[in-house]
Amino acid sequence: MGRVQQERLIIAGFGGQGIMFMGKLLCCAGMLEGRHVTYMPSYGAEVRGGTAYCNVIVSDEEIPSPVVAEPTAAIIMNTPSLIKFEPMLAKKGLIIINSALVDRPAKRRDVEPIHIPATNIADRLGNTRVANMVALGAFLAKRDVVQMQTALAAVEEMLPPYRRHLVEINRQALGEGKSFVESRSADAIWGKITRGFGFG
Amino acid sequence: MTGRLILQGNDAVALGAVKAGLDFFAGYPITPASEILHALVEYPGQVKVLQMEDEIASINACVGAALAGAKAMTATSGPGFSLMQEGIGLGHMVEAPLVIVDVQRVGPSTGMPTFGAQGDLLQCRWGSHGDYFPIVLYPNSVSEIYTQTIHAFNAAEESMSPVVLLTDGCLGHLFETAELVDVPLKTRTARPLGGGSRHFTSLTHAGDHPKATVPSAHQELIAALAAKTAGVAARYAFYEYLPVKGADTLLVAFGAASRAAYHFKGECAIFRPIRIFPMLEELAEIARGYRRVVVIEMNAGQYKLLVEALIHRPVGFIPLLGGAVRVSQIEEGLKKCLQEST
Repeated sequence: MGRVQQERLIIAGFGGQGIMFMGKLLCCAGMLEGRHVTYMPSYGAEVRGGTAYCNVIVSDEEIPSPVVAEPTAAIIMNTPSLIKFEPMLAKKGLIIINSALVDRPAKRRDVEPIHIPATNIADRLGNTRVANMVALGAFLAKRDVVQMQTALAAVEEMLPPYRRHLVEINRQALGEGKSFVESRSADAIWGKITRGFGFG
Repeated sequence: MTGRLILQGNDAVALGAVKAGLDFFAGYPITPASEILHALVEYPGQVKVLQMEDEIASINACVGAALAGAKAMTATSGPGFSLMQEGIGLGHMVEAPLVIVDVQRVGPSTGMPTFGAQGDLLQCRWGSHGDYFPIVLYPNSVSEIYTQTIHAFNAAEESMSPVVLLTDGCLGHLFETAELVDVPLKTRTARPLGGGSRHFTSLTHAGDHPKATVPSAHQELIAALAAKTAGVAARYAFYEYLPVKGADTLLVAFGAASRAAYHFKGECAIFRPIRIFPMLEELAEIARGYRRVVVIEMNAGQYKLLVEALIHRPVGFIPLLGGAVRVSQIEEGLKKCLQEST
């Protein structure tokens, strides 16, 4: 897995799933590795629990427009986000889908889907709110945008002192996401059942 | 990586303001500008922060603080900026140095609060009644927001007038790697309220006469205001010009739209005014070298009108509306402009 020179990422879900935290974390980790980063949040002003997404670019070069129109990767945490962003994804793009909350697999055949029950894995770890870190762990296992240990350092940097005790479970969640992808078996079976072909 | 950090546009405004010596902030929260107020609360020893009942109170509190000798600032978005217009005119009339930050969002009215736009340009220039000559600065990156915030304070101090720092919802909420570059600060020479014999009145005034009623007094006052801001603005003639060999098209863009325009810097020349008002004469000169001038802005054609007036010929126009800042839109728009002018 070679180092990704420029990743244009969309992370989407609903308010409360830690979508913005994921974006900021990637951004922070990218900066710690000395790369150029932009992170642009988008959310409703009046609606809590409404759609929330963010645009993240991590690049070796200076970034002109921070707006991501054709993402090279997407992390999708709920069904409405899949409907909205799957068509935008670039060919051969990576799409991480939280299969615990998304009720269908990816439709496109020209993208690389990873179906991971991030919310279920987080529940098993004892805190449903780290589903975002599980998904991020899966993403980082597929794409060398930043090192896993840099992501961890960013978690430590970003959590305020009164949330210090959550560093450990975030570390576990990142690790679970990574090992899920590395084993891959569950996803292959899921793909066979729902789409009639194995995940490559 | 010393000196580099990750920062949001709105936080860069707050940091820049603190660096510039901000004493007093009055504001009313509004998306997408609220983070500026939130950030300034973190400097209790340095900045007195008041959350007012609305934007009208905010701008008037800032005028008052400025007259009392403080470096004052307020921050808002389109709806609040509309409410502030009368107070801005007051600031120009009583010569109160202050900074107004407008993080533009889609309008009119409530519009799309979390989406960026550039619909307040003409409001910056002519929003209040009567004749005044504001200095308006519009950066396009988090690093530049920091530096231009300091410049805005300096320009306010030098011109003794309200200076507008424009950003937009995209830049205000954008986090990116930034480098904070400081500039030397200007200090005020005028004495605060209560010192000396200066009149502080919103009525037309002349010398030590607080209520001049002859036309010549008003003509002199307006001429003096115009000359004063023009002289100061000349020292803040910031712009970015990216020529490219063989190009016959010059793109004019600023703020978030200019970031998308950078994608075309291989094929078109780009002129990015940072000092939006007074308009840069340099643009008129540079435009002479190009067959075609195309303005890209996030409104239905505000700056385009003024560019046409400045360069005395029609210009192409690509509007980016409803918060979308897509490179593909510019591509399509450019194709159309090329067809129209051939």
